[in-house]
Amino acid sequence: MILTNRWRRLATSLVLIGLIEPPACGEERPLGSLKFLYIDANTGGSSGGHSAIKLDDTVYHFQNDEGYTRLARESWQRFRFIYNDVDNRNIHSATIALRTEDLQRIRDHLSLRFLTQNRQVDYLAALQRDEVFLAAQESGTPVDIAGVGFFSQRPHEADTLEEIRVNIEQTHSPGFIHEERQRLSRRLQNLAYIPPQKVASLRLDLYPDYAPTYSEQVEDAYAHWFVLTAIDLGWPLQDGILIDAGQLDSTSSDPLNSKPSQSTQPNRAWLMRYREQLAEGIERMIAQPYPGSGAPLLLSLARHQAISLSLASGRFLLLDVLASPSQKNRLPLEDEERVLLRGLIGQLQKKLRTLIAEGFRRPEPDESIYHRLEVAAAELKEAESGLAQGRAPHFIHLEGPPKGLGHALLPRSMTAASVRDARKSAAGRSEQFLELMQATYQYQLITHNCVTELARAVNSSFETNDETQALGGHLAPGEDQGFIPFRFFELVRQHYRASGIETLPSRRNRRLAELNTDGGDWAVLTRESNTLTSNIYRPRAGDSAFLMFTEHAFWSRPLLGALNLGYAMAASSVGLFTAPADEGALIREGLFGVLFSIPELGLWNIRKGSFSEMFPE
Amino acid sequence: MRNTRFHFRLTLTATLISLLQACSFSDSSISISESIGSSSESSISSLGSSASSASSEAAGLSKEKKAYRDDVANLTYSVAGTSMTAGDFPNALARTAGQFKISNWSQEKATFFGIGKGLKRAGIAKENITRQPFLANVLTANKNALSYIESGYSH
Repeated sequence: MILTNRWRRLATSLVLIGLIEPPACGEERPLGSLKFLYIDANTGGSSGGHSAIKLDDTVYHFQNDEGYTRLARESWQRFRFIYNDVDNRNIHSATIALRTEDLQRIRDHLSLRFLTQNRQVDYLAALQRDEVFLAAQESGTPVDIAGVGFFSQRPHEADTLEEIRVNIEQTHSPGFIHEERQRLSRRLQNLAYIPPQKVASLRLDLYPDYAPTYSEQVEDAYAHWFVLTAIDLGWPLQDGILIDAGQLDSTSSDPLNSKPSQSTQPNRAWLMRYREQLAEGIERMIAQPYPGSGAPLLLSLARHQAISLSLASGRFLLLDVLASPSQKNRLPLEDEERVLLRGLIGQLQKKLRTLIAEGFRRPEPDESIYHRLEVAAAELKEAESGLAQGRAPHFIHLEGPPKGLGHALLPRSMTAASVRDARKSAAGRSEQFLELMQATYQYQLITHNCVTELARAVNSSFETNDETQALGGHLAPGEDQGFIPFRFFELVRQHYRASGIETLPSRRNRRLAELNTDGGDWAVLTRESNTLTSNIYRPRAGDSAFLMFTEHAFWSRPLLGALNLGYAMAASSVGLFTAPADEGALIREGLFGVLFSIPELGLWNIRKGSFSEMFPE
Repeated sequence: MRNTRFHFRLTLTATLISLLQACSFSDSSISISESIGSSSESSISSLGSSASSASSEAAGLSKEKKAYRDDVANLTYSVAGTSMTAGDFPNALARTAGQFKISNWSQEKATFFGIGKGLKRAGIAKENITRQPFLANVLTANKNALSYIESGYSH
């Protein structure tokens, strides 16, 4: 029961955090700075601590991803929010004095490694999708294809595509669209699986050139066929996919029921110019397709239709780019949460108004602006739906442009026997490539982890091994216990040209400092020392069952750890009885509580608690 | 005292590190990331450039578009002189653009500025830009492609 409430709070608050600007932390540096970061340990991921490098406002760090180390890139804002606010970890930074050209060398090197590895990861995903597509061939079931989900296959219900159809026919020849549809249909019927060439080795910093896989070819052929058919037959957008963000014309009332204002109205001229850009892009991608152009083509066509409908109806209509929440996320709202949600909706409305006012003032159409409007409108819609239905709203993260996944039943292009052989071959290819990834980017706890790979990446930015001159010293990956995040940070301080050391306190520590400004308020300290009476912290699933905070204790830590151990064991025992109701959740929390209490007995703190609710501080 | 404390930490961490999940993102990051993105996208005042000429635009890109341009520059630097074909380079550009939620790379000036920057870094002479086989389709993807590329090259 307790856990159920916690999860509900989490689901509700996922929305709230998006609108709250992260607090100013006063540690930003002017552009050109390079910092090594050490992130304190806590439960959950990176429980042994974490290391990263910050270049201006971008953070690079390595993660363990399916048995290989993957280079991740985040904005500082997001990284800090996740690790410092939500995960409640102190972030320590060491600023290194560097020449501009050396800084640029590291920046370029990490960027290229990031792009290169992402392409390899994409290729692995495509090889794995080959298996999925072949399985669908065998069973005669549909596959998911990006962009298809934007449309409904009802003929002659969208006359907004007529202009594009006429332009395409004029550019090429009368009947071109029909002929192309026929050609693509035949291609889909004849497209057989040909095993891709085996990749012998992977380079870390050379962008690879892989031929399109079977599934990628199918996706492209299907998407192009689908687009041409939609244009030819006038397929409309899917029902319910458009969000009405209010009146389009400046003379009518404000879309969000506030005072009418010229500056908060979308601009027809801007939308018309953007629609022209989209039409140009659609016609070009049809005339000159490239591998991977199917999904962008479908997205452009969907946006083109949305804008045409906006201009025709006088309402500002945007694609709903957030997927509907699954049933498991439909958790009921409590009264307190309804109040918060109303506040959230007010903030979302303000955000959308600001985006509209600023975005449409730009002289030239811009996809980034339009996409932000889509996201803002979808967030508002989801929050309003949540309130109306009395459920926790839920946002999902969009990786890349809107996907619009939809089902597609592909024509059978291979015999049953050849599909079976192809599946076997596809499985072998993807497995071989995964093994290659694991060998190239191996993850090992001591020799190849997030710290050692960071050191290697920085060192390899310098072709002539002159990182000593650039950074002020040399750190061999893993040497001198440098595979441990906090030890590596010490080595950085000792051996590199570190010009400043700073600590960004965790969320709980910041709140503690605010509440206890003179440092001597024992009532506050006592109240906040444990999870039962704390006002700052609320117990959260995943933090493990514990009673006492031990981050600021040292000599008393074993005693507090013993209390935590007893509490965790008691929680596990209770969990035996609640298991039928909570599916063993309390037992897990208790066992993890035991695990994270053991280091406290030996004076070492890992667990600090974390947050899911990100209400304004 | 400090050494004692350090060795305690070192020994215990080494023991625990083998028990605990290391170097992985917390689960929470998956769910909240969009909200973070949204938060950072709450203002678009710095998104575009109001400058009119290609060369001043290359200098006046927003921070986000500069990051995209620099990725394109690094991509171009990496593939210049390799066997990448005119048909495949747009695919590489599309993947790079997708990282920035851009679906239509050919409408983004920053794409071409980045290509110019990358060509220069790769040592390609300016007069040889149009002779690069892998650029054949890119040069026809936007009517101002060449001037934008040259601008990115010169800047």
